[in-house]
Amino acid sequence: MPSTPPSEFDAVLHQPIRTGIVAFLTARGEATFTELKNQLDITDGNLDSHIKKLLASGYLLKEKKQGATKRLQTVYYLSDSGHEAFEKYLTTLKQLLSL
Amino acid sequence: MHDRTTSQIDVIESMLATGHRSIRLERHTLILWGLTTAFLILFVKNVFTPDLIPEIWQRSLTMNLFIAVVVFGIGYWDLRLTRRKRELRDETISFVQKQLTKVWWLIIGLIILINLGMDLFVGKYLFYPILIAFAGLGFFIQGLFSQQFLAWNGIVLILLSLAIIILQIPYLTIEWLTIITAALGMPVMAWLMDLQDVQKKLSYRVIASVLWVTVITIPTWYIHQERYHDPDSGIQHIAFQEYSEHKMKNTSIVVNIPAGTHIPLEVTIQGDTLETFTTTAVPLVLKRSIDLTAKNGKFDGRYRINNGNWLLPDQKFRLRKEKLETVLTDDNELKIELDLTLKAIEH
Repeated sequence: MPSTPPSEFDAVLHQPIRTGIVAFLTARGEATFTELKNQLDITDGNLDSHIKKLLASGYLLKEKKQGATKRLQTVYYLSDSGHEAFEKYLTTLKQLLSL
Repeated sequence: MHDRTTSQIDVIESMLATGHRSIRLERHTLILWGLTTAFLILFVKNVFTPDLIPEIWQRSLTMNLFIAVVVFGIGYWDLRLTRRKRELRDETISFVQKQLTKVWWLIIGLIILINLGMDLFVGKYLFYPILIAFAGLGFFIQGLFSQQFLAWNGIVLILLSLAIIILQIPYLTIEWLTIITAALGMPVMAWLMDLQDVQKKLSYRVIASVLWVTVITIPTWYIHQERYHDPDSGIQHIAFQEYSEHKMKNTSIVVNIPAGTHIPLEVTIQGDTLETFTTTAVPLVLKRSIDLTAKNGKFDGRYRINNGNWLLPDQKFRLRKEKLETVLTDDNELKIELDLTLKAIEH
């Protein structure tokens, strides 16, 4: 008899690629689109759609930065609500595993 | 459901680890710093000589200021290059990497400070082992957050510095080992760390480290052999009495000085509170026989004690100050007592 999953699962985070993006940014702080793509090993289109969902949920923020080459670079990082949601999601997963 | 949860946990653990280890030391960084270190070791001692700046504290300060300026310049250049490369690849310099750069600057600052301290207050023999150990520490810390091979090689460098001290390797050999490690070892390390198999497989890391140690030790061993080789087996041996009578200016020769020979020692004492004073009144008597090699009428510094191994003065000689005291004699006069121990270390 399978145990009942907790009802408060975050639908935005409960998807492997989006979980991967959030976990990576939690550890690294910030990353560009190319860095995320290289780490997750997925196509541009696939990553773009997941990033859009995370941006729409407010978990992800983006910022344009100018560096040594004067070129604008878009970097992504987690918002406070993104950090909180990830922590809550981890707690829920652990609770489920202990059932 | 349980499987899905487990796989999500796996994804999170994997991406957290990747995020923490996402720093990459750029290839140019190792090459740039390696060549700079080798250049500074070779250049500085030949330029900032006692002839150029006689006062030791002025010389040490000028020399270390020069080192600091060069190091700062290279650090700035390295940062510009790194940022440029990262932006061209659409990558960022992460927060952890910025913190690690501060650790590297702390290590570099400490090395310059130790160099200055050793220039002023002796202990120079230990400088290169300390330099190698600090570099090893830096690579180990860097490797914890980036390529594993760097952490691995950091430990190799620390072990290398320990081996130098335990084996009592001569100063000039240590200096060349440091130069070769910097000028040759760093570019080779830069090449090895980018090899995917070296990063992923333990056995490849072991092979890469062994290869790397071989690359730096073989040229050092060759230089050591060139400097510290024994005299030719066919070289003529004569007694000191005979040598002093005939001089034998056009040949290489081994001169035997027997135990019991009296040798006057010329001592010059100078300092900021003393007039320069030279005396040859200290009579030394040999306790054991010594062989010296002479070339074209001059001793070249090579010696051996009681037919032991051939040595050079910088190889296994230690001069230690045992006592330096000002005392009042029975005749109520001031006297300075200085005890020195000159010891040849034999194995």
